[in-house]
Amino acid sequence: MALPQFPALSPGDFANCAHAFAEHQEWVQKCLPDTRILQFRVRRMETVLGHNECGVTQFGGPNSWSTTDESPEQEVYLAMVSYGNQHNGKRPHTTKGDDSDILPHHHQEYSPDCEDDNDNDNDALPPPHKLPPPAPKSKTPMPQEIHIFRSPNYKVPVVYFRYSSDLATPDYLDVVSQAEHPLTGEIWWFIHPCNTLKAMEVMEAMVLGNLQPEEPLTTGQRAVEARYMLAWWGLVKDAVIGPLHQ
Amino acid sequence: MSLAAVRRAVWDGSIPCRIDLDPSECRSLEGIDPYFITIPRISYLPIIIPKVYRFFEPHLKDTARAQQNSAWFEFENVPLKWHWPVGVLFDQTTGRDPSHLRHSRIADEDDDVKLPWSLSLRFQNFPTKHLMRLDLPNACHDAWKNTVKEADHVRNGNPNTFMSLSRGDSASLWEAICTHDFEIFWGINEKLLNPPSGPIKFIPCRIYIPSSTRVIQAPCPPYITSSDRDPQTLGLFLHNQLPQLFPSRRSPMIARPVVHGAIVPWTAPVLELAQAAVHADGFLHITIAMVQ
Repeated sequence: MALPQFPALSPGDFANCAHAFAEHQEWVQKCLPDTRILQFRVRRMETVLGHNECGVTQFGGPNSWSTTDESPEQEVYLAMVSYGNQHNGKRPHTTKGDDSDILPHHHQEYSPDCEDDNDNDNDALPPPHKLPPPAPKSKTPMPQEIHIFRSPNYKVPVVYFRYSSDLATPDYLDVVSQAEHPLTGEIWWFIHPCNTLKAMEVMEAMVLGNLQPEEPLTTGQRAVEARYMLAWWGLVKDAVIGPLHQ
Repeated sequence: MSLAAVRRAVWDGSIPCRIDLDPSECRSLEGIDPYFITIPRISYLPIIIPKVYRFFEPHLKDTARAQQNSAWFEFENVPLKWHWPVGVLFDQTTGRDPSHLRHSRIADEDDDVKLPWSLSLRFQNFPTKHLMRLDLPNACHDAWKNTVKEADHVRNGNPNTFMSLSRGDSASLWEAICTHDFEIFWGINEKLLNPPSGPIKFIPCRIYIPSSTRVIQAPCPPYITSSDRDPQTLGLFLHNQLPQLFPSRRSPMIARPVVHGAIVPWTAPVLELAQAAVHADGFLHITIAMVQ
């Protein structure tokens, strides 16, 4: 059964959802009214300790659970690697080298122009909504970096973002606040997960259930994971990248 | 020692500080007296900013620019994160190993960290990369409140215990931290640590990696197995979380866990430790001293 702790995600669940999100970006962007294509890559949470005396220079810290149900996992996060309109992808400066990127499961370079793979789970994805008419240009600045981690305390995805300029401030300061980046400790903007957790509960039927009578009775696990991220991203997207951008 | 006595000792823990105004902020180059203040370990830097500001205000070069909400503190060129409890800041930035004190009757003799803790007060070039903004209204109160809610969520799977506190109680809790009132604080905090909803699911913990600004959020299961028989010990928990720093299950070898500036026994049950040594934000904050 996919996502047994819904809306909470175990580290393994989140890793699967992260891959689903990275692999189905085009479908995500179409379902949410937006013409922008964001590309995300899944990365490992490698960390440098930076303390020379003890001789330990690097570790990948598992957030391990001591009960028998969970096992220590190499944790991952999502990093936005480019954004732009369909044919005009910009590549923002990224904090980490591409060595820690994990390629999508079908082992291809993700490209907005490539056809969806022959993954049968696509049959269970809801159809993209019709695009609404173009709205006035959004004034929300576009973040230069967007990272998505699993919150160990809330067990849901959390989005962190920052701008190229220190002077830029996000628009939605009622839901956006500051936090320490989980790997670097630097101050990024983020959407507090206590807001998203409750909202996700309402989405249970949409994420876990069958959506259309034509669908097979058993929805694919990857489809459930993709839908989870679609539901979650739909909640936070406007506060991060602003509403529909012309 | 009773639980109340340990909580009182934790509450009374403090750091003697000496604050100097950074020369770049001074109106005149004549020597300006430093400001000496003892700050409770469980308190936060923004709480003392009004006092410190009043003391240095006559000497400020540019009071239009140097406002209370652009004040920041620095220790050995490291900007101090004002949303961390003061005791955690001290333990983490000094990396002090309290086990050295065991062999000396006079604490100062063997202490490798010089007291008072010497800080620099600055206003220019607020390091926005490392410090959260203080110029948003109620920044410090909100940061603390979010942390308390998070701790509540970790314990119970929801923040309802905190959210169901009366407005008066919620305001009094923060007020008690500002005025450093043990009775008022614990009168209310007891309700958060012992929620009516039943046994807690996880113990809210934060672990600080030495010589870095990395903080590990580590919800700790109170028992090792689901049968509630074997309490989770600090040593086992740290060994599981950070095996490179705590390679052995049996004893600390290259690093020691420090809570409120004291060495904690390896076999201490985390649940009991949290009941006694929780910070004012609901978390058990664990810093790490490297074995010399």
